Amino acid sequence: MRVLILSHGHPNFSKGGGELAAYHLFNGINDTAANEAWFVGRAPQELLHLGTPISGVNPREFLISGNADIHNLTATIPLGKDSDFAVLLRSIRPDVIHFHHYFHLGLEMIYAAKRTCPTASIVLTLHEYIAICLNNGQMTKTDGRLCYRYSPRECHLCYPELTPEDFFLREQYIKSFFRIVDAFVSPSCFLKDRYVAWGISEDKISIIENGLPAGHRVPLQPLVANEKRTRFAYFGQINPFKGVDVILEAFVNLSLKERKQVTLDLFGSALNYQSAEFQAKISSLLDRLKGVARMHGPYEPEEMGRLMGEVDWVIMGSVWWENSPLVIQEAFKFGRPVICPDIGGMAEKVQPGVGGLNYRARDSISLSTVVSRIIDDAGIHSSICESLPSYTSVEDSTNTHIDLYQRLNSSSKSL
Amino acid sequence: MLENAMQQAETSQVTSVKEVGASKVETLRSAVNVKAYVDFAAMSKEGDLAIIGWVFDPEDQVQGFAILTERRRGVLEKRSYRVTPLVSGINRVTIDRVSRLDVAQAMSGQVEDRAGKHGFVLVVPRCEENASLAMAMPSGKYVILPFVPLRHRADIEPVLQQYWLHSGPQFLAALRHSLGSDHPLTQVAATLSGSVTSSALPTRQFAACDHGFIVDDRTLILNGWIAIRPDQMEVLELIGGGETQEISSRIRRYARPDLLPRFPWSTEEPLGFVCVLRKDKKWPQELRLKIRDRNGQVETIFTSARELAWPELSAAIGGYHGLAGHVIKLLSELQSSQDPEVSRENIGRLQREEFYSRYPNTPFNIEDPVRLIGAIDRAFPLDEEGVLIFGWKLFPMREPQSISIRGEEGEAVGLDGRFSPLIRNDVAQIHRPRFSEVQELCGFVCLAPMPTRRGEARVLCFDYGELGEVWLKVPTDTTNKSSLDLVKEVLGLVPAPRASLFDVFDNGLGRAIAALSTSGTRSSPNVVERQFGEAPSQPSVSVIVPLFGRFDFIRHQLAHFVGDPDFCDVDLIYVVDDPSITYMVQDMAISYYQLFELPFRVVWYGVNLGFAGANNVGAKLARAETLLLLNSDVIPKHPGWLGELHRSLLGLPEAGAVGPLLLFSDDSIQHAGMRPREDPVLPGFLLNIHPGKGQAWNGDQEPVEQPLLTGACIMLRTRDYLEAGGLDEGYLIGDFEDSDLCLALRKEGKRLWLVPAAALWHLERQSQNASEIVGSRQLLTFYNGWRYVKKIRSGEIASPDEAGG
Repeated sequence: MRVLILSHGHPNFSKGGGELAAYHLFNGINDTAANEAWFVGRAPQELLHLGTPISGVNPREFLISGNADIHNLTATIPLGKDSDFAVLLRSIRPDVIHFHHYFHLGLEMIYAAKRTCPTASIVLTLHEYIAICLNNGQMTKTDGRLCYRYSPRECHLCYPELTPEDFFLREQYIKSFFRIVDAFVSPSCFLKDRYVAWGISEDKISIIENGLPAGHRVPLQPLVANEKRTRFAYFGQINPFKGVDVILEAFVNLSLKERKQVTLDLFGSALNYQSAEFQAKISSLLDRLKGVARMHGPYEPEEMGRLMGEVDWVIMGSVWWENSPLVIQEAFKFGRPVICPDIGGMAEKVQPGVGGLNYRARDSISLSTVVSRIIDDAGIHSSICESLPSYTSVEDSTNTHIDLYQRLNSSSKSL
Repeated sequence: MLENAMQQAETSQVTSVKEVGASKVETLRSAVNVKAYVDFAAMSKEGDLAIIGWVFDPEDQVQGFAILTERRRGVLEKRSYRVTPLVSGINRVTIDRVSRLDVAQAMSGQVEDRAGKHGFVLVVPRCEENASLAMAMPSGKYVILPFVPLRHRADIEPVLQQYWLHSGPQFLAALRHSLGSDHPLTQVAATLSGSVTSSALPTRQFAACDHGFIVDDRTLILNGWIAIRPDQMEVLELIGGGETQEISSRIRRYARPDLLPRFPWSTEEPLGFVCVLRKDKKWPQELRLKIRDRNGQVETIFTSARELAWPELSAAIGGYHGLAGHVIKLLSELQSSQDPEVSRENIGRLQREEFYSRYPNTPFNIEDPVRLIGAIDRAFPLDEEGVLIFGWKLFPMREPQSISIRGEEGEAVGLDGRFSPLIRNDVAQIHRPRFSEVQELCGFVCLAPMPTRRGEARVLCFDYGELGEVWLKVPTDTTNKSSLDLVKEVLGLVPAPRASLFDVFDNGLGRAIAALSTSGTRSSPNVVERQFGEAPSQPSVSVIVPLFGRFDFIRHQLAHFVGDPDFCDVDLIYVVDDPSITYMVQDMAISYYQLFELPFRVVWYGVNLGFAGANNVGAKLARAETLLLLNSDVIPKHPGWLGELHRSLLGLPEAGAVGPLLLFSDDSIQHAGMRPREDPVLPGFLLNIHPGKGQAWNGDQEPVEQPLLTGACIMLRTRDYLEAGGLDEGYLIGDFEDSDLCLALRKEGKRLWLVPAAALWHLERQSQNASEIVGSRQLLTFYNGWRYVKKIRSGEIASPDEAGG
């Protein structure tokens, strides 16, 4: 089977969870004996050749131009029958065209793919909620509140410059392309439910967790006298959506006595891209947590096992629903429990006592309480670690995908 | 009167300012047996007011003078007046009595002259700008004396000079007393005091002949003045060449404002006279007039008539207080009585020359406290249809006998009944302090049916008979705007009460807008067409989608059409009705044809024709026997709707047109058929209502007959459409064309059906630039609504009330 994977980015240049998942799948398929995969990742124009929207990195990997904005999601490259995109598709002759996302690439690319390769199955992996929500696809209101449903009238209240009809048009336009998609893939039930409520038929969405390269649990650091399993760490971008400020506030809320018993290590970049206000907030919180919290800066995915090996808990602070955060899978892979908000994809992957602990989303006091409990309850860490869920490997995820592809191709042939 | 004022001053040194309601204030006309007049008023820039006038008050009714200042308050703008009594010596006010022999002389025929001191001079320092002068009457009411104060020395001097001989010295004294010697008004008066001498005192003469002309030997024109009331005149004889002729019935009286200073009682009596007499032989040059009044006074006046030819006449009679106009009227009367000598040509020449001599000095606005206060604000020349005139008018004392429009040849067209009143709160507010009877409805619009091209000279002529004519210039040099902009401008000037709006349109405004809107380029534009993909050889339906403003709907519609098998043989035509988007539409068409490969055409023509015009262009290019008119903001809900409509059109009984169920984006009803409704707020108009709009659709899928269908999505036979003349482009921007087309079909016996099995979303008004239209949109709707009703009433289209639905 010949599979073409299209992604909204190439992990060499953009290390988001979606791009990584797409790239792992590409490698996973090529590792199988019976299948071949090609990877097309969207890249910014300065990385591409002049005069063509497509640049081959190697015989199986390509970069493609595209600048579909979040509002229109409209492709910006030619898609006609003589276009470079059509030529590429005809040369690959895929049996399956798998879009990992439509953002940046453009919805019209789905139609062009189907038109050029009418017998190929079209698969689309849903990442965040961009089809449903204009606010970076996060399903949070522009005033910061969580959003529970798509509604053109409510969307207009978030974006008064757009009419409810503008949102309705956008919805109908997206759906006109989603109709061509043979199967959707969602890494979480929560995300699937949101898209089903929005209008995608339930039986068209399969749940397949993103795969991680194989790895193993890393031993805990030995404890010395009076030490507790109270070393916490955050991994990810330092931005307001990830709720790093919520985490820091929770540690500020602790009593002085408690603070002396914990450490918090922050790994991640992008603080310098945030608003001055946010930067000032983070730096003021860090000042108040001298001796407790440390900001380490960026890290590479390859370092993850070693970094997690030095801590006891992984903490998340996200103030939006998330989908299926890679960091949760990574923590399970390396044998660390996760403390995360009780909403969305996070609450699906981590339930109280299973895989970690939850706290009330966006509530630093609730998180403080969880941390205090961990300080007081010496047995909680080990009891959670005993039943830590397994992670999904690239191989497992790939096989599930291949099963889906085969199902689709046999059903289309049987018609 | 002044005795009363003095007494008041003695008993109380304090002038009591009080407030009275509007009902306490009247005009001089309502006062019985009191005559009064302000001869002269001047105001300095500091607001110091000085007045010369007279009061003839045989029954001693007038209690004193007061200054009235209008006040308004409350939401309803209830009017009241602050009354400040004027008492000599208080607040530096000076009131002085003056002997006015002229008044005494004129009034002595009526009653015995008392002290002879009818005149007064009045100085009020620091008077409010909008204040008016009033006399306190025994009834507790106040009678307003209208005046317009002069403000510039150049205006003040010549007028003041006329009154100097009787009132000058007291006036100067009063100014010195109240304002001081250095005050500018005092200085103007002081300068005059040395220059005017008593040798100019009026004589007791009461008649004069100013001109006599003998035109082509046999036409005699005489004019002059007779300072006797008409009912006092017993004999008026013309004597000459050994003949005597009684001509009292042959003279025409007319106002001589120049004689007012000499005969102040004559404000309402025209002292001038003019007569045109014909004789079948030569008139003698030496003539005299003998006048005898009922008291036996006799005056004989002599004249030596000048002989001239017809072409010389107008130069001879021009400029004497409208004399020419009166001569022309008399000559016209003679012409209509078939006098062969007075030719149309001669009168025409006089009229033309009278027009040319008067036109350059004709104002756009006038403030004449007796005849007319008014202005022409805006005019729109409409070629053959005439000229549409906007303005306002008040007749403070006298109503004109007739109003007409005059052209360059002196030709006149009467305008009786052609004025529609409009609301002018601004005018009413400014003028009510002095003219309490001013109504808000003093504005007017008038379609004057005299063919008028841009820049042609036109005047409105208010004919007050013996008081002469007042002319207002009609500004016909309108800037050359687009027709729609002109229509919007016209409609912006129409603040008519809603209850009479239909009548305002009916009384000319509607025809004027029709003329304006067709004055632009209505010729068929040069249509350019571009085919994308291969056109279907035998299309079943031609779908016409006009584009204006937003054009991204193309991609939204195509994304839905492309998945619908019904669209495989459709002749899809996008009509660009907005030159500003022509090239962007083509760019979008190229990329989306490449993507979807669904064939369609784009046509454009470089102008904006409006909804009707765009559809008509599309229909002419249609290749299929069936047409679907479709708004760009209509998006299909499911595939298969087009075939459903097509089968219904072909299958339903006598179906002339079918329309789908149109839903808002929340699936509530936008259109499930339309009905006409009379609106009690707008009598005369028929509005289109959408029954069930905003409600959930509870009907079943069966077709239902309807009185009207919306044009947002309507299917009909191409032949029927073209035979009906397409959509009527006489409606502006987009209103009523669809119901008009429906009624045209129904006139041919065809029926209209709603087909609910076909359902589409209509994102109403997303296809229009709402912000640009909202201002004049409603007014355009009124015009369109008027036009619609006129077509129904004339039987051009069916009445929506009969049968159907």
